[in-house]
Amino acid sequence: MQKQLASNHPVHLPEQSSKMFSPKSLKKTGLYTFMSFIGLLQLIPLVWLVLISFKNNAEIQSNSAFSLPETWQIQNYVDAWVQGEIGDYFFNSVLVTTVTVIVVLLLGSMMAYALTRMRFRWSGVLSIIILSGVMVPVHATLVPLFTLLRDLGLLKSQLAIILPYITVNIPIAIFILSSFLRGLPKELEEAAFIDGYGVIRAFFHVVLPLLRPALASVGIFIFLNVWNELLMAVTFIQKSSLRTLPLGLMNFSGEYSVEWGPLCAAMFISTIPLIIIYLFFSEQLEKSFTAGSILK
Amino acid sequence: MEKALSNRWVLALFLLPGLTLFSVFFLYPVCRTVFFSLHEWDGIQPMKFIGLSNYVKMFTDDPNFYPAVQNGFVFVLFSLIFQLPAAFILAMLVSRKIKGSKWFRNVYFFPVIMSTTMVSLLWSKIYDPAIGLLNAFLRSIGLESMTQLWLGDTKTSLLSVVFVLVWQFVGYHMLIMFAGIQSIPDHIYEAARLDGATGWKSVRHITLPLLSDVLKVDVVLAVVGSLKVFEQVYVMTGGGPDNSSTVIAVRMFQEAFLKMNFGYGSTLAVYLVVQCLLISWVINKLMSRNTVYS
Repeated sequence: MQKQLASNHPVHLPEQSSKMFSPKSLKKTGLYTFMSFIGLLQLIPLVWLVLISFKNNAEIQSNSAFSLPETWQIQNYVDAWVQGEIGDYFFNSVLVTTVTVIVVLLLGSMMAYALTRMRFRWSGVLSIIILSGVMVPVHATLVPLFTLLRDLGLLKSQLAIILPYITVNIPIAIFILSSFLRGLPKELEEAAFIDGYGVIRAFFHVVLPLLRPALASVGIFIFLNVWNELLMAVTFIQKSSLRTLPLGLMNFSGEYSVEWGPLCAAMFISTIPLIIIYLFFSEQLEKSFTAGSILK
Repeated sequence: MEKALSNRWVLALFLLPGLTLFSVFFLYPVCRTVFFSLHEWDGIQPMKFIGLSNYVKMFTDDPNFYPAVQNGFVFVLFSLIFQLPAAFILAMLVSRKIKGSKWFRNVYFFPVIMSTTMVSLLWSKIYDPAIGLLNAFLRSIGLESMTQLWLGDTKTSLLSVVFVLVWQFVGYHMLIMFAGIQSIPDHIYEAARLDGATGWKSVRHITLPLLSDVLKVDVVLAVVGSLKVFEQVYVMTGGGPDNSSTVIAVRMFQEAFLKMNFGYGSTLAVYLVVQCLLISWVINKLMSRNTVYS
């Protein structure tokens, strides 16, 4: 998919001034200027956020927007983490996201395998039904899910949010993994069967290791879906101690509407894992988003 | 092997856990939503069957329904007129084999992976009339007169929210188009160059036609994404002021979970789903008729 040649280095504008005025490098300079301008537009809000997260209120109001903080208010981060309970929300998000990703990868790959490799009568119909899970917006499930989770007595536990998250992400996983499976040669599994492996053993020892790149893409995609999700969280999380980060942030912003420092610190904390993922997995991330787009 | 792959027990083991979850927590609720939409119910008292009354109410007696629908289409419109063309231009730019293009691509894409909630909170600070970045910027370049209440004014609230959606996801559409552009083989451009097609001509006659499948997918994504929009509106304005920026998803949430009108909330949910499915079907029909075969 990617035949990208460009390196990872930041921009180097043409250095020799003699070349600056030839039409070609003028065009190039213009191009870089434009691209940098758009780049700034995408980055400035985040830079601003980070600066504010280290300032106190007086400084936010008086000094210019991009001045460095006079004294770096580390206290904002402490306030966010402790008083703002961002630490608890962070832990909740980690728990909910991890469980969801693991279960979806396991169930999704098993289902994808059954649908692409195993033989049974209704596999075509079943694929279409599961496709509906990708096509129909989750909005269509909220009210009955709420009453169902309430009647099952789950609204006071993490399951209230984990079960719906697993469910809405399984179809996406199935479709990405199925298309990957279809491209995998069957010879290795056949060899395993000849060696006397059963389907289950062949799946766990031969197929799953081969699926690893696809599992990584799907895993990252679902991680982001769940980590950032608000609509279901705001509907199904009824106890403040169970809040995930997006919901916690919303609540925090209501309480700290006047004091921006701790709120911005909280917002930045919630973004740090995403930045880390981006720095380490940008390649898989791009793959998972382009793969995920085909079905969404 | 044939035998192994049609083993009923294994099949059940592989399919049933996921399928059970999917049926209980997705298929069943979707059907129940349609069922609820025919009832009057506060979630506690016994349900009362009222036929299509909720639908009649939605189309004739809900003063917020048409504004919400219309606002949804404003999201769609801006997404189609600004976001996708901008994404295409960016995709073309980062596809050029120049130094740093991967770096630019990463920067443009970065807002996509941030949480919409966080981005919306961040922009509500940027739009803050007193100390927000936007008004501060306008004042600093002497455009004091252009400062606004932004989210607090019925005239600007909707477009301010729309801008955030366009801003955050332009990189997403750029990436999709970029992947499409990358899959066009270089030799086609070279052949065209020999025939004198360069610059805009090669975009018009090679890139766009060969990208038409990707574009179709992307248009559907952008349109459905705009119609489903919830977080941005809910976080930044809650639909206000005076319902000026409300959308169907927010109305549904308010009816169902704030006013406890589970019946009418479900009706709005049904409308939203039908609208999304219908419009993606129409786009697919329209755009496949126009597909250029090469």
